[in-house]
Amino acid sequence: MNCRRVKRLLPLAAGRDLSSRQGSRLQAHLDRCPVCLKELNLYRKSLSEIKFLARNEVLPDWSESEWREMVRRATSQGQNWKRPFLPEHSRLAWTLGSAFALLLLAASAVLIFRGRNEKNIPPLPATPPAAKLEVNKQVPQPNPEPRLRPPAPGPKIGPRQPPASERKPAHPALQAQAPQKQSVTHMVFVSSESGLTIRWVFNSEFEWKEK
Amino acid sequence: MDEKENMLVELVLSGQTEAFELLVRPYRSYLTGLSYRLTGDSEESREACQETLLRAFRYLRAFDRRKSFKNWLLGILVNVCRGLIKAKQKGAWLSRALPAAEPAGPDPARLHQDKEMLLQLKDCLDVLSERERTVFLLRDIEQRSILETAGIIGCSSISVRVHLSSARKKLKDRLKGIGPGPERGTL
Repeated sequence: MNCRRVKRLLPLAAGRDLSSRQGSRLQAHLDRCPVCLKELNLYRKSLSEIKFLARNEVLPDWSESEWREMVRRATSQGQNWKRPFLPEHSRLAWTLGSAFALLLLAASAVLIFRGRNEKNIPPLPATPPAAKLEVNKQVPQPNPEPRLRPPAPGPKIGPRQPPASERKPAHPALQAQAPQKQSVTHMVFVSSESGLTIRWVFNSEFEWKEK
Repeated sequence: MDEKENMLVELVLSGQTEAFELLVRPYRSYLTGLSYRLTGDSEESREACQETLLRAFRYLRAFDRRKSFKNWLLGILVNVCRGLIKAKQKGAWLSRALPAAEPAGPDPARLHQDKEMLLQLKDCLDVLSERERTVFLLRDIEQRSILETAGIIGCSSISVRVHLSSARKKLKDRLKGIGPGPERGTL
């Protein structure tokens, strides 16, 4: 055992807090090292001084009636006390944890309901056994203007209309139906092999819009 | 734990609260002394003792009767004092007041000597950290063993040894700086 190691053990040796094995090894070193022995004596002296001071210290004390009052207060308060479900220090942790769990539940509920609403979009027509072409099928459009582009200024594509002077007056029954003009036409192409569906939507000007 | 204490615990738990005073009375001086040395203030010491008694009464059902009641009580006191010390502002330890209780001796010379001695002890303990002070007081002043100290504080015996060693070294350096005191007793 060298001096460096002994100096680490001296504070414990001063209070006889070393094991017997460590104590005997330390004693063997102290027998041949006066420097470490002097250091140990310093520790012992300081410890004895502190103990002397503590023994002679005037400590505050209470009168007998004060002591009894303290005990009475402790017992009366202790009787009225009910053990809390959670200890004080873990109450905050539980509150925060519960709030976080509720937040997580609310967020997942919102995500689930949003996903369901997206699934409620009207489904496409069932896949026919072969490619199918639907033409001139009227689609109800409550307000078609915002969905359709304004007519392009260029030449119009569509069936050629005769000039107004050449037009024949329509049948009265047809004239009555005239305001119910077909506004939108759509065509659906479905591949039987891949299930790929192409829907073309045409407005009254025969401009198409792919969905 | 001895039979008498066991019987008193049984009485308190069965509803006879008067037995609680008999149970804690033998440890009154330990409570007052340790709480005062840990907190450094007579008012806080009183507050700590009151809280210790209250907690001891509340949690008496949880006390393991195979263990020492004194150590259990001191463990509660140490925890209470730790809470009070943490609540205090840093540096308040230096400005703590002298105890409210007057020393027994009416002699002015004795009074002065007591105050000087008290200041010196406080000055010595002031260089220690809270954990070192607790370990030192329990081991060297209250004469608890290393294992008992570890049980009271709730840490390992190795930790107690480390803090005790550090505390003794700091106190030795502190007393070396103060210089030789009056004629002291020996161990």
